[in-house]
Amino acid sequence: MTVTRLSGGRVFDPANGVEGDIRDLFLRDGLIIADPGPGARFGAHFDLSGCAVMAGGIDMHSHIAGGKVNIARMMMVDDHRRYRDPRDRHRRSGSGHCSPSTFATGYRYAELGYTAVFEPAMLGANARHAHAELADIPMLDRGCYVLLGNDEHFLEILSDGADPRRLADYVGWTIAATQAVGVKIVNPGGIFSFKHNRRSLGFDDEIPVYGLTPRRILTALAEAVRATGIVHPLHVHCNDLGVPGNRDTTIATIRAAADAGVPLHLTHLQFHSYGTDGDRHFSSAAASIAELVNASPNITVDIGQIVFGQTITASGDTMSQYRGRIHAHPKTWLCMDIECDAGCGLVPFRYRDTSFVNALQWAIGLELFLLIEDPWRIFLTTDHPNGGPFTAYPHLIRLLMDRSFRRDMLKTINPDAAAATVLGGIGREYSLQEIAILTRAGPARVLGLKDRGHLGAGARADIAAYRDDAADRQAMFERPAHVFKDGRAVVRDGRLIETVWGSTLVASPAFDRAAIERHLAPWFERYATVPLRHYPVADDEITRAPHGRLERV
Amino acid sequence: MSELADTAAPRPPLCPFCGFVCSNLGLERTEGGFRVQGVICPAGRAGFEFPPGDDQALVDGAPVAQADAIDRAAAILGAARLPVFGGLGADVDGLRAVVDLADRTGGVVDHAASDGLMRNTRVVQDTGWIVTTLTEVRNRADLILLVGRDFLPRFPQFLDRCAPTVGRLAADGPPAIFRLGPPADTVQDRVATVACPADGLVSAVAALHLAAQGRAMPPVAGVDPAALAALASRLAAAHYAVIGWHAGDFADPWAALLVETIADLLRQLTLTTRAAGLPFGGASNLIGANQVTTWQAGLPLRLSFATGVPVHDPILFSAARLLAAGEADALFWVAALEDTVPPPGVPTIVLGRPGGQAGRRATVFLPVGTPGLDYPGQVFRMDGVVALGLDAQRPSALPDAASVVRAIASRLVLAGARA
Repeated sequence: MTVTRLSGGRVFDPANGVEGDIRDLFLRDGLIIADPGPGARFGAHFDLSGCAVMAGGIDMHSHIAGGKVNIARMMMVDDHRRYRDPRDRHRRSGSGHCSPSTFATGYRYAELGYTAVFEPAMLGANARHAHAELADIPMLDRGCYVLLGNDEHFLEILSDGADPRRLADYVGWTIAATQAVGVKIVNPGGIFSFKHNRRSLGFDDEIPVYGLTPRRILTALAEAVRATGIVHPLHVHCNDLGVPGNRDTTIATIRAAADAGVPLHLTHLQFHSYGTDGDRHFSSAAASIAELVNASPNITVDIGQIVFGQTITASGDTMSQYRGRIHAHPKTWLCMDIECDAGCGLVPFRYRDTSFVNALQWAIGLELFLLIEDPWRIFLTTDHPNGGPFTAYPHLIRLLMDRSFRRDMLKTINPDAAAATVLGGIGREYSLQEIAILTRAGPARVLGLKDRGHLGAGARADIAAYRDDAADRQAMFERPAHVFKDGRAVVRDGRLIETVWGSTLVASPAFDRAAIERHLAPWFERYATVPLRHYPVADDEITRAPHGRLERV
Repeated sequence: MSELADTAAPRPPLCPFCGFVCSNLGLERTEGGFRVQGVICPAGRAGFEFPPGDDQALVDGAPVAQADAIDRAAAILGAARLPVFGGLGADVDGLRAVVDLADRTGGVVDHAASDGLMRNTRVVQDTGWIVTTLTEVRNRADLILLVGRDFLPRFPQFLDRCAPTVGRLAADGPPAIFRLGPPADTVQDRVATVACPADGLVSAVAALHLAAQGRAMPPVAGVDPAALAALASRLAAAHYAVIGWHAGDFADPWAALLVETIADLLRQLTLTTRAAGLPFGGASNLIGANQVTTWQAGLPLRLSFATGVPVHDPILFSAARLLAAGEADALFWVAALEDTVPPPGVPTIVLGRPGGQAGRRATVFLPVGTPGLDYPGQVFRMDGVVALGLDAQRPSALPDAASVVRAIASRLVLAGARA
């Protein structure tokens, strides 16, 4: 096979300690290879001088597929009427801004230089559907985190004496059966409790029936996930999302992980960093949360930054979504209890910069970004579409990299919120190297993707080259000069030039299948409405789809 | 550990013909077909016990090679100004291919059984709802209220699967079951009927809503006020009430209003206790058709690609309406599951079961196999959450719908602006 040469770019490859050096990259058979040396012949050559060159972007938390996303599309008819893409030579038609169709999702991510995206809330009961949708997302490698911890089988094992081996076998079995790459818990015990008419659940409250606390559920699940040997630690959506004063719950969660000696990933931390100070009893707790995160090396976080404008919130957290229904805009909302497994809730929402609460949420997210010191433990997300659509990432990158832009924006928001945030006093500006960590190298590390998120020999040739523009980082990251996926040039000047298909990435957990199926068989027989043998998603259900490809990480 | 699915040992069959996707069935091979053992509805039995037919492609009723039929189908679609893609009885991959073909040809997409779905979709879009799924009902419901005419004969496994007397996570006994609707011919022992004429259902459910608000219930013509009041009390006292309905059974002009009124009642009950809806239906993978259309186009059924972008409208893009009004000039009909008959009037391409009614009058008939009988595939359950993988139950030479649709797409030559 011929070698492709990418020359003259400033390379930002933090995983390999390269920061802004001008060097050439060489691609062959979809991989990055070492310099083939003098005399090598090149099949193609791309001049990347003037560009910042990074590995393809990796979004480790973005709701792009599965039941609740598809309900969001059905509900957001106005949004999908306003944003419609025609079919052309390279693309299928599509629609939607905050909950785009599958093809549009792939194209838009690629046009921002992203090459891998992870759906963070796949229900086991909905796994076959989620994978069927992922199969229709082009341009990207993709994977899912399966929800556990509100499902009755887990709660039953835990309350029955909690044999750690059985918990781990069940978690491993579920990862394999649902073809997941990670495990997530949403409002530990809360989704289950809402089915029993509980409307709130504190970290040390007992859930109905099983008498367990969120603390117990969370730590037991985190230990079980670790015992399966998968790389990604338990991905946690804490209790009390959106509730003023929820910083106490978040702090208790971090401390519980430290006490149990387990790593955790805390997702959309912005929604969990609220105090109760001030006249409105709503304040930023970002400083205290950031301080604790800085001191807790077992914790990684993503932010769930909000973006002003219309979106839809889509979550497994029925308890929180039901509470939030009164803020629905437009006035339609949906809640669903699902299969003694989990649930989902959809509430359209419009974040307003004139609203004190929304403006302060915006500031809290940025405070967290700027006060958490280690870029390897924090990832850029809007919790798409919950904080806003992923297409806002270039704007957010400019907010992080450009303090004068940030201060200009601060002047436009609700003045009481502007007065209540320390944001204006924070001088930190992210460097290009730090952005490469936040959006590439860090997510690859926390997910255990050895050949993605970096540009060393042997890595996948997933590469984005952005024309350097120090004056306007938003413009720079909105329109990559070139994007390569598996070595193929797929985007030029921010426009798609070829459709390609990535892999579905799944983990390889360790567990005793025979042991756990001895317990699952009678349980399914007695309580489930799907036969046990029809529950697992087979490899060939993924690979049989057009362009289907499965890769174990 | 790699994958968990055993492909070696055969799994018990699943019934793909409606959204309840029954298991607990035995299939006995007979001359050219199957005989079903177990509790099954008439549509499921008809689907499994479909008599064998001639798997010959036809053009204008005359036998042709499959490749020639495919070329003719491509020619019809290529020349059409507004093709309608109807029926949509296929597995997920077949539907993927159909939606792609509709996108290419600027067609309209609709399912044969979508009338009820449109009523539900409009409520999801206008007000939202609170709903639940089969396993949740089985294990948690302490009261089930079915609204409308008796549809349980079409879901004969419902009581066993969703209201068992043993085998529930809830510690209490089985749920109380009521039906509010016109008296049925056959009475189920466990279902208490509160008689209500079909055109009184909106008023009766609205009265239950008023009662849930603590307000006086107005009289409803044809309904025993004491029975309705007792039902209102049971709903208020239930810990997890489930209200089930089959929107396809409702009649216009009040059909959509009835779904909305049920959603109002569920929201009201949920202010103090828990209650959730269970929409029945899903014939011939209707829910799968809605899901695939929604994820591929960003909008649900009924959908048009005629302007080059996806446009959703539950009334304008009814296949039946477009054909009756003479707005469509070609029909592409898929009936790989239930043997549904296409509406007449325009050149029609049918992908259907050999010997079926669907292909009788077709301009082009292309025989296809049935997912879950002839080839593996995926279908959605009526709750919209659970999709199931179906296995082939016999060796079959029949192609799957997706392959045939993609073969037609590959032969397509588009006229005019879309070329």
